[in-house]
Order: sequence, then structure tokens, then C-alpha cells
Amino acid sequence: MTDTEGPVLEVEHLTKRFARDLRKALFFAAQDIRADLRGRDGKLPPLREGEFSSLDDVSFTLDRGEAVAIVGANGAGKSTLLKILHGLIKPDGGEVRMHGRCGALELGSAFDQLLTGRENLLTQATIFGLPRSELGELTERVIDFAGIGDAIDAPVRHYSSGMAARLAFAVAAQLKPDILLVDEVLAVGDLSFQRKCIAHLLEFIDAGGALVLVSHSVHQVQAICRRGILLEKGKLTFDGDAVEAAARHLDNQRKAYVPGKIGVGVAPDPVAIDELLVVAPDGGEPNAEGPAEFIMRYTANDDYEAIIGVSIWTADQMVCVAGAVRPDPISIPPGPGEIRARIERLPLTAGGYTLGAMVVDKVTLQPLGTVGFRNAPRTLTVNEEVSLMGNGRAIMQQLTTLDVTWLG
Amino acid sequence: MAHETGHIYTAASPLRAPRRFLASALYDLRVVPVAGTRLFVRNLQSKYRQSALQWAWIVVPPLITTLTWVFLNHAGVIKNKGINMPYAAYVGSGACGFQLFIESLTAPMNELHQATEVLKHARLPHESWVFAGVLLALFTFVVRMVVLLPVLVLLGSLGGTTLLLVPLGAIGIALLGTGLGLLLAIPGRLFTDVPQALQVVTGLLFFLTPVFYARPKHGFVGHVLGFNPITPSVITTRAWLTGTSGGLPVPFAITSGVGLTLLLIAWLSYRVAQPHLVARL
Repeated sequence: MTDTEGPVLEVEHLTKRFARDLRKALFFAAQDIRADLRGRDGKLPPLREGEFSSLDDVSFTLDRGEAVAIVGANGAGKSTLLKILHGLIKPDGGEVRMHGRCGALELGSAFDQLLTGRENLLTQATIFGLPRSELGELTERVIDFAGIGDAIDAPVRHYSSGMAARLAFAVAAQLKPDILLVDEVLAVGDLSFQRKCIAHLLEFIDAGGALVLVSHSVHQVQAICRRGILLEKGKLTFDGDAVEAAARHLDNQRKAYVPGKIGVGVAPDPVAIDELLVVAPDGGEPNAEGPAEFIMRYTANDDYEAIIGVSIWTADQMVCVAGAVRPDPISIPPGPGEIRARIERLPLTAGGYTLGAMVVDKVTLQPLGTVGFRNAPRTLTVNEEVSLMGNGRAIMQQLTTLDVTWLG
Repeated sequence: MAHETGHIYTAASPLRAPRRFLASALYDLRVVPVAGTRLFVRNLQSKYRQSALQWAWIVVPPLITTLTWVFLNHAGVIKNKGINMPYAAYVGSGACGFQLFIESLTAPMNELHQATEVLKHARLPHESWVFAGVLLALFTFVVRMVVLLPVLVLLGSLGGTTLLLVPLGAIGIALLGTGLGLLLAIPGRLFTDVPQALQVVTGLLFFLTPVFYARPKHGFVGHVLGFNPITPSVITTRAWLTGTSGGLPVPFAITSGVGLTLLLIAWLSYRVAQPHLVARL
């Protein structure tokens, strides 16, 4: 990676326009090419008839070691932003300044299908500016990381989508760019590889890399990024905490929901879980191995017979630590309600966790309401008095403690 | 060359920062021979993979052209006045040169069209695909030469030391074809009218190039052929191949120079147009 002071990425008043009508789009492209060949200045031209702004005056900066998630509905301008950052298309107004080398990760569609994995890798490495002397070592690292073995010498067209994704990730990660652009790739591949990718991205950020992630997976956004940018119809409407950005995005989708209309927003849950808590009996943060209470507040839109389940996950939502399901169904009347459960001994060590819950219809087993699966989970902090044992557990990254009776 | 460690993307034309524009073009060019050669080899392997006759298809088109015109000549349809070599040698060598021009003319558009999916997603130099296409056209020309040379020996029409100039002739033809092809690829990536029109024009061009008839020195046709930029290249390469007189080295040098200039202009223009083309792919 390159070392420089200040932000690694600066985006200022970025605007990009498209026309939905193909013929107009082609004529506008011809006009733009002619203007560029005549040496047009960088001023934003007036909006032409039939044009809309895919990106409208978007500005932000990104520092080293920072990861930002770009969230927004389909057509909000996420892909357009990534394409401009990657240098594939140019803006109609504004400017992007990159102080470092930029790599992009996009499923494997960026590979030439006729070339082998190795040839694609070498081509991309050469473009990236890697000296020839480092190519051999890079190839070894990529093969090792992707775990695709001899397939590296087969044309990419023969790869499964999972293999292509593995190779794409391995190439992008091992080239060690200063800025990595990631577009929805982590949805492909098996779970263990996804975990490997997320772990690698976190290492990349820790090592000073800057990450721009476009993902529809709220889990991934929260697992990787602390910062989130919400795009709405091309405008940047929120830049702040990733969880809040994701929550605002989901809220927008709910508001946009129109029953019977496909593809706009998401339906509100029949049983909307408004609040989910695990608290100490006094209402404060619970202590490790102490008593605690689980509280779920909800609003139902009808009568339901439902099964309730709750789960506690690691902070990165990669591992479910513990869970409980109420064995007998309960009746949920319409309107607001509350469910409580007592936990005699919270089997967790001190630290940060996330909470998920699900209300499932007794007959169809379809989820009536969820928290932490398709949307933002709730957080849980477990306290513990400072002790040698506690420190030992933290060092070992122990998550739970067994309730044992020592017999000898 | 140093690593490229920063980028500025603005709405302004890249031509307003010519140094940066040229540096970026040259930087990308480093990878073109390597990536282009790999693509060429792969193209070659895949092109004939599902074909029973395989590489025979390289020689079939000019062979059919030659045989057709030889047949027509025998039937007395052609007035081969002014042809100073066996007619088969004349048409065979002319067809190879003309075919090379057509293949280098269509290579940029065809190759870039085939690579649409990857170019939409990856920041790879488009020049690699153009290079691969031109390599394929030149390779095809070489294979045709391998078939044509023994035929010329049999016909007693093989040139002597002038044969050494044939590669120069091929490069001149390819330069002109690629320069023109890449320039046309800019509107051709947007409007399908361009490839369609090109098909019509190349069909017409065959008849306006002295491939199967001798170039009339006078008259309207002679005048038109004089304006055809391929004429000097085809005639001169044929003269070098067969060791006959009638080559036009000076016009050939001029058209090759024009071809090179055209290629440079087309290359830089394509790079200016590239982000607009990718946005509409």
C-alpha cells in the first residue's frame, strides 16, 4: 500500500446523468464524445430532455483504515458511484481524487471468460502496476487463498460462480490496493469462504486499507463497516453510522411498500418487533453469569398463534452463541404487546453481542416478524467485574461459560 | 515505469490535461502486448474448437474467391488485359492482401463487441482486444501465405528478394485497416448502423480494388481506383510477392503513413470516448 497523508479518496459534487430512452442515450453519448474531443471544461452542463441524475451532487471523503457501506434502493446510484470510482465511466459534474491504487471486486464478471484464471490474474496484476518479479509470489498467494488448485489453469468460462467469486476475491485482496471497491460479491460462495472474506476485509481495513462496500446484506454492512452512506435517487441523504444508515434504508423501503406492487420496498412484518432487550433485573446492562430478563415488544396487525425464538450472536453476527425457543405457541392479539422471559444465568462472557428474534406462524412456520436477520439486529453489552479469570476468558475469546459441578 | 498510484476523474475532457492523458494511455499500453497475445491465442484455440475443418477455414475464403475468378477468367468473362503474371497468382495474392485489410478493418469493432461483458465491469485496456484482433488478422495472412507460396512456385510466379518486403506490405495494409477500423469503432459501439454500413462498403470495396482485374491506368474507373487507399497497398504487396513490376512504393508509403497517423488519432480518440461508450454498453 502507498503511504500518504490525508484522505485516500475525495469525492466532490459528483453528478452523473443518464437517459432512460436508449436512442436518446446514444445520441447524448455521441454529443458528449464530441464535446470531450473538443476539450470541454468540467462545468456541469444543463440537464437535457429525458435525462435524470443517477448521482446528484454527492460529496464525501474516505480515510485510510476506514470502511464505508453504500446503501440504498435499486437505482439509487450505488453502482454508478462504484463505476465512476473505478474509472470505468466519467462524471458529468464534480470530481473524484484518489490518492493511492484502487482495486475492485465484482463477482468475476471482470474476468475474460476465454482466458484462464492464471492469465486473468496476471493481466490484472500487470494493469495494477505490480512488477514482474512479484507476479510468481502473487500467483501462489492467490491460488492458496482462493483454494481452487489446478483450476487456475482452466478457462474462467468453466468455473462455477462460486469458484469465479473465490478467484475474484483472492485477486482483489492479494493485490493489496489502497482503496478496495466491493460490489455485492460476498453473497456468492459458501459460508466458510464468506467468513474468510469478511475476516480478510477486516484485516485489510486494520492494515490501513480503505473500503467502499455496496451490499444489500445488512449483516455484512454491519460486520465490516462502521460508516454508512445512504443514497436516495442519486442524492446522499445520510452519512454516518453504518447501523443507522442500514436502518434508515430499511425504513425507507418499508415506507415505499405498496401492497400488490412488486419490487418497491418491503412489506411491514405482520408482527413488527419494536424492541428487543436483554437486561439485568434492575433494568440495566446484564452481568456475565448473572440473572437477566429478555423483553420483546411488538405490534401485531392481526390475531396470530405464534412460536417465539430468540438468539444471541457475536458482535460480527458470524456465530450464534446461544438461543432459546418457547416450546408452546402463544396467542398474539392485534395491537401492541410484550413478551418477557427470565434467564436464570446469562451464559455469556463479558463483551458485545447482537440480538436476533423471530416470531413464526404456528401453522405455516412462516416468519411473522424478525429482528436481526433481514434488518438491523439489536446490540447487547454484557458486563463483568475486572478479574484475572475474566481477562483470561477475554484473551481466549471465550464466549460462554459452562455450568458445571466439579466432582473431584 | 512507476506504479500508477493516483487518479483524478473529472467531468472535464481529458484533453485539457494532455500530459496526464498521454501518461495514462502509455501506462495502459504496457499491458497490451502481453494481454493481447494471450487473448489472441485463446481466440485462436476457441475459434476452431467446434469446427470439423478447423484451420482450413483460414484458407477457404481466399481460395474460393481465387477459384471463382480463375473459373470466370477461363470462361472468358474477365478481360485480364495488363496482368503480367498467371491469373491465379494475380487473384490469389491480391485476395490475401485484400482479406487482410478487411479483417484488420473489422477486428476492432468485432473484438470490442465480443468483450462487452468484461469491459463493462473491468478496467482493462480495450486496446488489448484490438491488438488481439489485429494479431489474428496477421496470423491468418501468414497461414494463407504458407498455402499460397507453393502455389506461386508451381505457377512460376514467386518473387525473389522482394519477398522480404512482403511483411512490410502486410503491416502497411494492417495499419490502414486497423486505423480506419478503430476510428469507426467509436460510433460503431453506439450505433449498429456503422457495422451494417461497413458490411455494404466492404462488399463494394472488393470491386473497387484491383484484386481480380488489372488497374486501368485511364478513364473513370482508373480515376476512382486512384482514390481508393487500399489500391497501392494491395498492388505493391502483390508485386513484392510475385517479383513483378507495377508496384506503387511511394503511394504505398504514403497510405501506410496515413494508416499509422490514423491509428494514433483513432487510439487517442477512442480513449477519450471510452468512458462514454462503457456507460452505454
